[in-house]
Amino acid sequence: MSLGIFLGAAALYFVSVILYQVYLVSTQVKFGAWAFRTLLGGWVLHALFLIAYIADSGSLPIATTFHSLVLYAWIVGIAFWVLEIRYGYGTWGAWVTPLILIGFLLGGLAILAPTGPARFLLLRPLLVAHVSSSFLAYGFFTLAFVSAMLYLAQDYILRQKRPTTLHYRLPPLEATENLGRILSALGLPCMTLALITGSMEAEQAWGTFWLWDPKLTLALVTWVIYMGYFYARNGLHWRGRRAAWLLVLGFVVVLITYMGSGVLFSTVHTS
Amino acid sequence: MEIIVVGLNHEVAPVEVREKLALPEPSLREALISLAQKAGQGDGPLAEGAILSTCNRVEIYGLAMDSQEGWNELVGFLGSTCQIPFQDFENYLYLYSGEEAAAHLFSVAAGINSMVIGENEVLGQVREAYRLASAEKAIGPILSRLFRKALRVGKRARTETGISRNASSVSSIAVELAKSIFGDLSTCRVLIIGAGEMSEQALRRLMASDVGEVLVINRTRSKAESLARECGGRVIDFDRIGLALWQADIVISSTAAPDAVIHVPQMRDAIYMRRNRPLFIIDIAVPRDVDPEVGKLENVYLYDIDDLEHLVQANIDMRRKEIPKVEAIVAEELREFSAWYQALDVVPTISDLRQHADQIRQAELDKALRRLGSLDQRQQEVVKALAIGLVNKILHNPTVRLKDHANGRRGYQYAEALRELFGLDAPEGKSGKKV
Repeated sequence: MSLGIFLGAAALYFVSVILYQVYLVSTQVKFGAWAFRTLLGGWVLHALFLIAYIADSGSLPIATTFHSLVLYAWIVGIAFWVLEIRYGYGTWGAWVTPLILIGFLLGGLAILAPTGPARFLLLRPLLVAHVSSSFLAYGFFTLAFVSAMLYLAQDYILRQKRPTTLHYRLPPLEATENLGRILSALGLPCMTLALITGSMEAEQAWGTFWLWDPKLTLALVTWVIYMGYFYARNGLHWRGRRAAWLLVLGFVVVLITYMGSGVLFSTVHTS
Repeated sequence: MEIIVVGLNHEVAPVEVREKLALPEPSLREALISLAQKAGQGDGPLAEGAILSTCNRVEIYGLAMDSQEGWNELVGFLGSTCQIPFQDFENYLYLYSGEEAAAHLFSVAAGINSMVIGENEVLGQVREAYRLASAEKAIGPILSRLFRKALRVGKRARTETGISRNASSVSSIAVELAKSIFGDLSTCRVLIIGAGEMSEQALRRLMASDVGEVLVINRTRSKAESLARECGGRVIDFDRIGLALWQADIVISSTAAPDAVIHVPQMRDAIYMRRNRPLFIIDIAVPRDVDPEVGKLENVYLYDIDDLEHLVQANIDMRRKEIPKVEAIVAEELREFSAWYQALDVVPTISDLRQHADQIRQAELDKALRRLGSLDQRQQEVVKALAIGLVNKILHNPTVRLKDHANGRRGYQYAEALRELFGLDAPEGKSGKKV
């Protein structure tokens, strides 16, 4: 059954990716509308897939980094469609949906075809709070990164003044800048909560509230960067390109924090 | 009967010649009235007429017994209406007849015969020409159908291809760029420095896109005031440009000043006061009003007239690529129109009428025979003969009389009436196959 749901969600996500690319090129509204609907459909099946996993195994899919991609992709999905309903910027879906699709495929395949020993952690409230807030933060910061990249792309195209029609298919600068601001504003409290709940977990697991372990340190650095982003925006009045590059930097650190363990560094933190 | 057209456009005639032949509305109406009178004469060469007159073209469409006579008639008409000797313009005219004439009108309506490819104005002009010709009764059923078809071609070209898709003028490109930066323009303030045709056009387009407040600056206070009145804006003193710059999100500059009016230090201050909110500047002036170094500042987007014109040209080049698709639409609609037009001939009309009647006869006959149930052979023969006789007798007169009119100029009118009244054609706009 899980396989069926997985394939269904993957198919819908795939169709959505295609439709968003078509919408980007063709400008006809119907493509954008259908792209959104198929994304939503895929996301609902994705949710079912997650629920099935949790029900089956009694734990969140965090056994390995690959497994957790399923949760990550799901959060990126919900953040995207909620923002779409609120703002309807449309064409940025062409970049977001492939991310969701790839995350879902990699994570789902890892879950359905397990290759190594998997560790399951029981659903304790503190753990759930820590994992959810971390992934929410990752998801929001990822979308902030996408919007920052789109800002930089649009800015580049406008400055080049080279004839291309892409400039009116990308969301306007004001839109992508707005998204960056909102997504960071959503992500920062989640990151704060993740650090707090994480440190409470640390106390229970290792007897201390903090360790200068690579993963924990990187998480703190991430938090500092996004705090820095808000200070730069509101205090220094940074906008536009500079602010966007901060979001890009933040995402690089997020990536390293999220996926670096085992690859770039070893850590006492679980995956 | 043939469709003919006589005219000139921006491609073949210089503006001095076109000016002399242009027909603004009151004279256009009079011309149509006299064209209607000519068409009304039972024995003249013309049966119908319509006039299309814009700043880029003057064309007279007609329906004539013979194309050569028709052309002569129209050329003479043009000369006498505009009071110009025939020799002054005869070399600039183009003359088309038949399918070529129809294809020409379709191309015009689709915008591929215009100075700016894909422009939308021409479609409205064709519609207006049709409306006026109908109002003055100069146009008849054939040219009506031609014009309606042309309007359809115009609409199809614009919805099915990209012929009118991208911005093709400096002012519409400016608005597009503003939207790429700001999205919703209603929260943006526009500052217009100086005056001029292009900047006022850009301003008008921005206002049509719901832009917010308008600020006007001009060295001459009275000019600033009159522009401000026109667009509901505020006037700002010329020496307070710096102040205005930090309030405005979009700046349109086109003064006659020989030097730059906006410099980097002013701009830096403005950006600082604006807390780095983006600023979009369109510098239409030649020589330029804005120091080009300003464009390198962060959060400032500066476009001068060259940049804008390059973009326009790129868009027009993209439109040109759509021309083959539009030509395909023109060819398709032309086929349909030709099929309809040829069927107007008396012979196919008679045969279609016959076919129509026979279908009804057969259907009614079958129904009656079923209800009558068991009839013997003789009784059946009588019933069948009744049906045939009725149809033949009723159709006899129309058929014979239509044949009589076949070669006269009335023939097509009667054929058209017959087709219309008996519903012999598929509805307009669908394929030309007969029902």
